[in-house]
Amino acid sequence: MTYFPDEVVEHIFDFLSSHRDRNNVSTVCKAWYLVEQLSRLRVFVGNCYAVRPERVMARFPGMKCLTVKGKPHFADFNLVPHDWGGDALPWIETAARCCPGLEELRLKRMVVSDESLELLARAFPNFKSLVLISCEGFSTDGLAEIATHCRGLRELDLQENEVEDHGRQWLSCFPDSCTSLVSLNFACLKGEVNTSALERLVARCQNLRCLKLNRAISIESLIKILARAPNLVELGTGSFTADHRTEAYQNLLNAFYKCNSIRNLSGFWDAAPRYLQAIYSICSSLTVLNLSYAPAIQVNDLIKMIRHCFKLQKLWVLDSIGDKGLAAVACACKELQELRVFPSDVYGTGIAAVTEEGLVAISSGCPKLNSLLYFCHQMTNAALITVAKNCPHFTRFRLCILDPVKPDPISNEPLDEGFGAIVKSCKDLKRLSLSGLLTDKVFLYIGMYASRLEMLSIAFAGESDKGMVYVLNGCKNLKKLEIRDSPFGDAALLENVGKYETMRSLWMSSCDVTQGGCKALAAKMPRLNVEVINEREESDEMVENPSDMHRVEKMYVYRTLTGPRDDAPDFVWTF
Amino acid sequence: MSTTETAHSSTESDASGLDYEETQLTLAPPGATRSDPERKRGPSDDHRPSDSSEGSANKPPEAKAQVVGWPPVRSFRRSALKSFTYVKVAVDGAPYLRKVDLEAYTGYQQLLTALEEMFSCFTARNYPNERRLVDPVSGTEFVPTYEDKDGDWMLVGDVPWKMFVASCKRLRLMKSSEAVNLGEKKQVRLREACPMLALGEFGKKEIKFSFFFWHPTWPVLIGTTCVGRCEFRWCPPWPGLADKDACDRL
Repeated sequence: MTYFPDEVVEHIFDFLSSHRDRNNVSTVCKAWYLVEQLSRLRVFVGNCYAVRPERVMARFPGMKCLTVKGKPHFADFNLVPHDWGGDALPWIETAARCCPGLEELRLKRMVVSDESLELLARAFPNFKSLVLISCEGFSTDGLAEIATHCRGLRELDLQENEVEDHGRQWLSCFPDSCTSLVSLNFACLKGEVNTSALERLVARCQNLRCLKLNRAISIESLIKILARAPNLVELGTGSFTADHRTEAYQNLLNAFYKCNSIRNLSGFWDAAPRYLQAIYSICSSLTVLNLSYAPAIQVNDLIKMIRHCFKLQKLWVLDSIGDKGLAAVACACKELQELRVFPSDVYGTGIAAVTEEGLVAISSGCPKLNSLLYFCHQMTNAALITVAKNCPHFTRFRLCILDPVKPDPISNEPLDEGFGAIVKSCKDLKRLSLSGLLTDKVFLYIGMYASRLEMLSIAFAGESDKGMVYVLNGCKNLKKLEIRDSPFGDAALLENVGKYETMRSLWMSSCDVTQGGCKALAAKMPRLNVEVINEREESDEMVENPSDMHRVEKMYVYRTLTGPRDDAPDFVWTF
Repeated sequence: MSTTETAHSSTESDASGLDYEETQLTLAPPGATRSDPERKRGPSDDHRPSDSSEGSANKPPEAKAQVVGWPPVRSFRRSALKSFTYVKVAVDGAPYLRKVDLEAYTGYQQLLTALEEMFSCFTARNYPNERRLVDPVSGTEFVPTYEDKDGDWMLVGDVPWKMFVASCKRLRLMKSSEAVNLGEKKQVRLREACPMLALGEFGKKEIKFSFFFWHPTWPVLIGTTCVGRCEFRWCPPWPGLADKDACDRL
């Protein structure tokens, strides 16, 4: 056997950036395992309950960057009770003890308290980057701690978190000596901030390249900020509306004229049409445009803006853009790779906005499209078949028809053939979300063709257990399966129990799985946590001691090295 | 569902003389049974598969709103978009502003009642085409006005309720004395691009326009054309507009 010194092996491993590759090489032999574990700097934990923090940090003592994900995906849609778990504190406490050299922390769907943030701020002298996505549990007091104590902070990125507003002074807590910020995103904060402190901060952080303001920031402040940060690459504009009727338009035009590095724009919360024209000069260099929080922008203004954006690669909009607007996008944005169309009326009672026509137009105009999230009122099989032919490179395809069981309105048939065409044509498909009227057939197609599929979301679909079994038996790379309101029961759940150890997690809610089925699964597979979430409204003799025949409302199954978790609330039972 | 909408339309008829439902474009001939005005495309409600074996396929439209977590939109996004229906309410002379959620009301009457309660010093008084609120102590009358998406100040009550909710950005209860000319329009004849004469005292609010005229002694007048007539209003000098030549070039 050829012998390589450890240093050479380590050097080779430096070229492996993906976690999967690193995980794979570490299983080759003991020697490689040891080299890899000491040299891994970036650690990814996809499920915070799959492994204990101590074990992670013991294995990777050189860890500099840690990513942890908490709640299941359906927590985004209020399907997981509020105090289910996902607390970040144990991770931060353990890291404070075992890995004080930590530089970056990324948390998604976790509960982060002000206490955790305070500990984080004080325990890591080299801390550089904090990214929180869809987290909750903290307030602006916690942010004040980060600002005060993290010397050398480069990145504070808050994406779509629920943050309690305890006042506007947290920004003023960045000391005058702080000049290291490269990225600051507080777009999700609801409250006011101290704008003069912000302007001074921006002025002294000459390396600032990403700045995303919240809705409380008006155009007047934006103009002053842009004057101090002409080298920004990413900008979230704030409300984009003026407090006073002044010469804001001319000043805005001048400010944007000087910012020729901007490639990524978002914000526009209350944008009035007259101010939108000020950004036409930078539209032609934009690669990313997020207008999904801008319900005030009317279609015609949107179309005028989009016409300039011929380099656009990523576009997020509201469905008020309509099929007409999407046709304009298809004409103008030939480099488009990712499109997300969100519903502007989330209560589903509005006027029809986008349909299959818009999607077909996009697919024929934008051949590079590989990622789609599309909320629409209707879809046809013919349209999906056309889209599959035009865009065979999809890696992410998420379609949400607002009426969850709507058939093809023209043929009145289920959408099995349409989705079948997508999975057959898009061989690199990694993520798929289904909707509309669907029978077991669509799952047969998915099992047959979607060999690279890693995540599948199912809602109100299927006819029998066979549907779920097709998927479990067919998709060999499946990592996450989440199902709601579909007629899959114990037979499907128990058909291929070994499969769940090859996956990160399985979620089933409002299906036909029973208590007995869950117990059976838990008994057969000790290395899975089979959690049943029982929300009780009134105390009920039957519910407190349910029989095995009792249908389970919510079930979350995941592989784990730790056994049942010790922080489970009383409404979560682990079998 | 249809009974509620009939109730809405009667409220709106009172408000503006314009029945919202009647002005909706539908596929049916006028006078025919009104199909769902919210579905401009696609089949009518009858087109659902009625012989489907799935119980869930025939969910009535009302049930949609009650399905938890559907459509699958992050709660952050839901609450952010919801907050767009909260608008600030300012009252001339009051020291602080309030906020109301327009979607909480079904029509103008409810909104005015709520404003009345909120500022607790008013009683509503109904005029044939307008609504005013009165401070019983001082006798000052207030007219509800709002700023729309284009930045223009409008009188509350002119447009159908839903259109108002969609376009209102903030509310201001203006003293009647200031608002007296907000709704007034005077008809004038355009004389081949010659300077226009001032026609009297008008309201002070700016409105967007497409052409300018300059007269050496009168303040700048700006006007716009719409089909059949011209509307002109008095306006303070446009900022940045120094001379007649600049004006003509615009």
